[in-house]
Amino acid sequence: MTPLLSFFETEVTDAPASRRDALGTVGKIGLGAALASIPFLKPGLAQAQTLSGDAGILNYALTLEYLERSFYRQGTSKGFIPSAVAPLFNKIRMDEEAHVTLLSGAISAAGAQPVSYTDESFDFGPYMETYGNFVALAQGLEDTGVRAYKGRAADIMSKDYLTVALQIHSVEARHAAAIRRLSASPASKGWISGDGTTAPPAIQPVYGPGQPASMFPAESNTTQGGINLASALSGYTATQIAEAFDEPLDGDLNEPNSTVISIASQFFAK
Amino acid sequence: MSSLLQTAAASTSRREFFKRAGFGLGALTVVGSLQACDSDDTTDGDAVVLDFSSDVGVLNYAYALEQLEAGFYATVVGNSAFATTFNSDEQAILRDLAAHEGIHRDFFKAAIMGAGATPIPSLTPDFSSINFASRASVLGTAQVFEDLGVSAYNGAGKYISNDTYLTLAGKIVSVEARHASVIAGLLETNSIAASGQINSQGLDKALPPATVLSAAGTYIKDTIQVRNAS
Repeated sequence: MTPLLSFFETEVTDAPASRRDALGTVGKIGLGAALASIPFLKPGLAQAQTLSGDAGILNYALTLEYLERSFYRQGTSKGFIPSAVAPLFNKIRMDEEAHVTLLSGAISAAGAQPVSYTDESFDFGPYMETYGNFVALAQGLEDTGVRAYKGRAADIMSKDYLTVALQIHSVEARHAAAIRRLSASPASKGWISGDGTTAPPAIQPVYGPGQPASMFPAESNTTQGGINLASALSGYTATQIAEAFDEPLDGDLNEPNSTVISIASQFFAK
Repeated sequence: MSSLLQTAAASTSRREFFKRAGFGLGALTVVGSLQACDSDDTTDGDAVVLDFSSDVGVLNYAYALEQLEAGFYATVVGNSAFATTFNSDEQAILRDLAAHEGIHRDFFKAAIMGAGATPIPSLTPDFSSINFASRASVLGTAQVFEDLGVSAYNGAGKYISNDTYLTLAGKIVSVEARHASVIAGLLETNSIAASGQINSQGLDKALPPATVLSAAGTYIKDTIQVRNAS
């Protein structure tokens, strides 16, 4: 057993979700109503703590990791990835597989029910037809993951889960940068430059504002901590300032219309 | 109960305490968290204490690391051998990194002052171990700094009680991770991190502040100590 998972298991009797419940901050939507509103969550999975508290956030993360795992498993079996970059995509696939294993184990160890999907749960349509399309969506999914983890980090009550989420978050950003370099123009840009309007339509929301935009601004944002950096700092362009900060995006398994769930929903098999 | 678990339980309680007590930006103070002497001296360095019992201590920790990175890249792009040491792709990357880290540094100073607190002084770098006319030396050092920055933010997140600051740290750490990945790719094709930086569980490192400051100390003349970060 890995040290981290064994550590998580010591936390079962002190499940963070139950502490959050005790604070009276349980989600406004009842569990049954929430499950009924999410077409891709099986009602049979309904158990206490599955969608609320820290377990709910971890299940949200796990859902996105399943999506990514399936994407890379399907893509690396297609044969269209050039041999020169195959090691990169194999490495990324293995990271996503490890994230699924880790989060699923952590949720179980906390006494909650992890969501579960197969590779066939997802359908990437045209993005699995050519290498160019595959890379475009790979970049979009990685950037979505980075924004998704960032958008919920402050909601995590347990310090241990927070640290693990941050440790995954930065790996997704590493993936995003390496993939971005494969198709970026100029190729030097491993960071999000501009507002992403050159992305395919299905991916453009990845770079736009979330809900509300005041909390989840578009990636072109240049105001941080209430400071308009474009005017407060001298010597830098607005593009450089926007590049220097990645933005969070809203997402919640209880909210099918939240931005990240809307993006991810495009890829669940009908 | 193991000591590890006791520590975790105690630290979790503190985070919840801060959240429930509603400590906002205006409640932050820096009184007693900073001791600097000789701050006008630009050669010998200062003695700086970072107190992690307040968010300002964590912000100043980030400010210290961003100062180090910004100073490094400014020296890289300002070196007379820059254009001959690096190809055009590498030059574009390093210029972007110099801008990003300068922005991070300047942002933290402004944010700390904006919270009514006192930023630590400008640190005095010690880059004597780096050959700025050597591609391997510069990119190798860049890899160390970027991976160290990622590990530092990942390890410091749990000390931040204010949600706005935690999200701000998140906005920056993922850019540091992008930097780290791109530098790794320049050093070794298809690499996204230095060996050992990502473990078999797919997790980036998260390092305690004392470990980070010990590693960073090689490149800083000032003495930086951290308190209340157990």
